[in-house]
Amino acid sequence: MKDYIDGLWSKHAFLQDNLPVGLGYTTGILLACTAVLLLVSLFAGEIVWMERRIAGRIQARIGPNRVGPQGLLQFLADGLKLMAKEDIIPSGADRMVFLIAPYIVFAGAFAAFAAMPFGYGLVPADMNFGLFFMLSISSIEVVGVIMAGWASNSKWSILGTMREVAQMISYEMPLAISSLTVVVLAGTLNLTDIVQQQSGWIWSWWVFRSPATFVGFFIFFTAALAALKRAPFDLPEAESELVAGFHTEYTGFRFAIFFLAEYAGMFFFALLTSVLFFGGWHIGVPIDLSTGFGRALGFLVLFGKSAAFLSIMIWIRWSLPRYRVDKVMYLCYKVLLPWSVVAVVVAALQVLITGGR
Amino acid sequence: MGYLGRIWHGVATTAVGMKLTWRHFFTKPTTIQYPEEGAYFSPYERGLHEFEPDKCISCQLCAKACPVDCIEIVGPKLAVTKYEIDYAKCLFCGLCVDPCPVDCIHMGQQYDLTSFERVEGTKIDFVKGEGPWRTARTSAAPGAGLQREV
Repeated sequence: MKDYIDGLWSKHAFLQDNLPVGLGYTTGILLACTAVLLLVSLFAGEIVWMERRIAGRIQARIGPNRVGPQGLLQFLADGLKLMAKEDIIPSGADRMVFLIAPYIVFAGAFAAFAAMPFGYGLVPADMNFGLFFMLSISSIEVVGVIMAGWASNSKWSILGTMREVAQMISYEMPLAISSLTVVVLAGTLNLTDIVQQQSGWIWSWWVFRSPATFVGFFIFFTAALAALKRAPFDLPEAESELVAGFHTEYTGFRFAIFFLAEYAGMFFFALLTSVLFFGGWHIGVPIDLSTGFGRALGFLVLFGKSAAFLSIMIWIRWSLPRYRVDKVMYLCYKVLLPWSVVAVVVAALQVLITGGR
Repeated sequence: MGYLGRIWHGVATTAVGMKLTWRHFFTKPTTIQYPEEGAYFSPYERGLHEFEPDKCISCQLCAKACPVDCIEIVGPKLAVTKYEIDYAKCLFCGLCVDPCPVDCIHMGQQYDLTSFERVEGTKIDFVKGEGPWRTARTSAAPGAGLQREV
């Protein structure tokens, strides 16, 4: 999209004569950003609705069904309510840091979508090192979390922050290493290329192509749950012990930003799981997806797949009790990390033996 | 339990929990969507009263039996002009039902004393069949529902 708008300037002399050249590039970037921001925020809002409906059904309740059809607009009502609340800053808080922290968390969660291929040719920034960029920029979130927890000057916040930082940094290792299984076999970090290699029948999806990626998928998904601090790894927010973890002292709009960032993160990892392991926008039968209809179908298919993974995350959250702190670390360092390394070695051996086919 | 045994145990117990919630997901919600749906009550529920004005002989026995004096009856025998119960006082004990010689006052099924507007007063006049609440049997249609449903 960015390239298309930028290309208008080189094609039309009228624009070249009357408007500065850089404007096309800037407009393109801004438009792409706005589109992604809107898409992600909307979908994050709908994930909140989805979570509450599924949780309700699991507990033999109905869940929100009043605002809009089947309660679909519930997130707008929630957002409005949060915006109407007073913005409280604790008197002992480090004011500046306290105010900046939510934006850093949100920026980290949102910037990760920059290299995400949403469909055939629908990628905000098609980078050669897309996966690397995503995994590294999404860990900026940790900085924001430390800032929020420290600046709040509250014992609940700081305890939650310490747990969260330990957990997020630990689980980034199995997360990155298990995604390497796909990278080693695919031979590229470019997510569009990784998806294109999964075209054709359903067994050409990476998860079914090698035992390494099959194991890698489960490790990736578990580590993603922990990195997102979703239950059963929700120790940083443990409601029963720590009130709400690092955002205990936040109210109103700033809390809404944290909340949105959390659900945007869920959406991000659901998308990334479908892109890396489950064929991205491919539907599992070999048809041409580069036509207009195919692109729209692929876009919807990718969203359907991510919705499926989101449902699984929600299902897990409302099923399992919380881990103990030391068990979380046990799971990371003694189970997921060694097995992800084994999976990468198996993937490498597979490339060595079969020549990458 | 060894290392691999523990991993297996973790996966297996997770699967048990997930299966349980999966089953629960497909059960029917027990929620009653309150303003649209009513809750079930026993036939012997003591809710709002039901009154049959053409039977009432204005004998005042129910008013005398009432421990909180919430019943007011005006009018001659078989043609009462006012039979008013103050629900701010009424404690739904049912003591007014038993002494009635013509069996014209009953405890009904209506439990709902809410309204969508701010209302004045807490009294319902059963002869006019109207009152401050949006209770279908007293305010929606005058006289409707005052007959006992068997």
